[in-house]
Amino acid sequence: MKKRVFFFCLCLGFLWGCKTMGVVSEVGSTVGVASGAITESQAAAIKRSSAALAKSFEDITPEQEYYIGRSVGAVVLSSYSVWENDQATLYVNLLGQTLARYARNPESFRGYAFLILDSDEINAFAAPSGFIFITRGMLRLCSNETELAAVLAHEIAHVSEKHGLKAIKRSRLTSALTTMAVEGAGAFAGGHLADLTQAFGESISDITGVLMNNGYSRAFESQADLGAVDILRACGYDPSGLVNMLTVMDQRLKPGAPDFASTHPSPQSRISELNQAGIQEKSLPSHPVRNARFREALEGV
Amino acid sequence: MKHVCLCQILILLLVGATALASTLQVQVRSTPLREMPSFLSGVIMEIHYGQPVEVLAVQKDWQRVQVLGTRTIGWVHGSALTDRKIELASGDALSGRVSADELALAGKGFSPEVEAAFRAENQTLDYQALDRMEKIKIRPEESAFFLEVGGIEPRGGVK
Repeated sequence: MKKRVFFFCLCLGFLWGCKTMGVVSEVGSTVGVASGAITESQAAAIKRSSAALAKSFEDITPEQEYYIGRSVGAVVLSSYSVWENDQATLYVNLLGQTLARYARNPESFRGYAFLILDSDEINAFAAPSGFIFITRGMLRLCSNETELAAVLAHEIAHVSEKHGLKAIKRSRLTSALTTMAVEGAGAFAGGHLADLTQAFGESISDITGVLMNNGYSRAFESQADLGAVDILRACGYDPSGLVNMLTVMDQRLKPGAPDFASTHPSPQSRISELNQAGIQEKSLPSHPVRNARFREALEGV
Repeated sequence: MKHVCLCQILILLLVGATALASTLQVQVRSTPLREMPSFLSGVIMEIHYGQPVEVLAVQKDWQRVQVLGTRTIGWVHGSALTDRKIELASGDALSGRVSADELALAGKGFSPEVEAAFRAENQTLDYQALDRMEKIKIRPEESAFFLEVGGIEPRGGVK
């Protein structure tokens, strides 16, 4: 019996070891030793930490996520200009930052923030760490606060679920982490910044490519819709706002336009998924204060 | 004999796990230590990136913690804490013995230096709007007021 338990533990240990032994350690040590940058013993040290390396692929720290998010935001802002309207920006932040407190990850490195883009396109972008952009065109589609809350909650859910980070190709992080590991082994004095910067730049392109051109997978979009429903419910807004909004989008989005239509599944398919989750389109009761502040803040949109 | 060894290893592993689980570090730039487990509760002090805290109790998303080395106790939202070790020696050479997690958290990855290098290579990118954007902070009291006058009632109370 004892022998059997011991054998079981041994197998378990072996399996665990296999699972966590990432490809990184191989890359790191092979490249390093071949280039003469590190010694065999240093390579062994890197191999020892392979479990942790493999893990951090999936698990970029909030501080690094913040620097990635800033640069993704900067790229978005190189294609769009900011709509300078303090009143509207404050209102969108009041609503958005309030909603973000009800997300699964309410605390990002420096918090969530929202900016309005001066564009007629119907579009919205969520950069990692909580930098969220929404166009004037999208704001115009919202007919009340609850519908705007639904759009913002969808973007917050993308951030909270770290969809942006998941768009980064594994190979970028392999090279970034290899550089870090080699540097950590104390033998990589120069050049590491250039390597890291290259991996950083490529990671930014991966994310902006998805945000602005290719779109997320259907699975991520439906996760963001369901995440938005959770946020709206927890905060107290009617999740039907999301279905209402998608119905309007279905009428207004032009197929082939370089906006939300090109980066998102059809509103119809998103509506039917929400219907399956028990959320239907409905006319929302009007509230005097909410209506007044919504109209006042966005009157010039 | 084998059995004894195995027991010892298991005990060591368990002790190690417990010690790790009770001490966490702040993983966001700064977060308020609050009197109660709510974003609306009073702030005792701000705790900053890397600050170690000892967990005394957990209530849903909130953790009651003691700031290590002090007698200050308060509540922090769980998403602001990590059980991975944060080294604050950003910019210093780290010894070969630190784990990759420590490397990742020591500012050795995508850091201000990397951003600066990236900006130098991409001078058309404008970070000014980003700098302005991240300064727009809505305080918890403002959120609570916004919800209240708008007749919005959060499920499970205002956060």
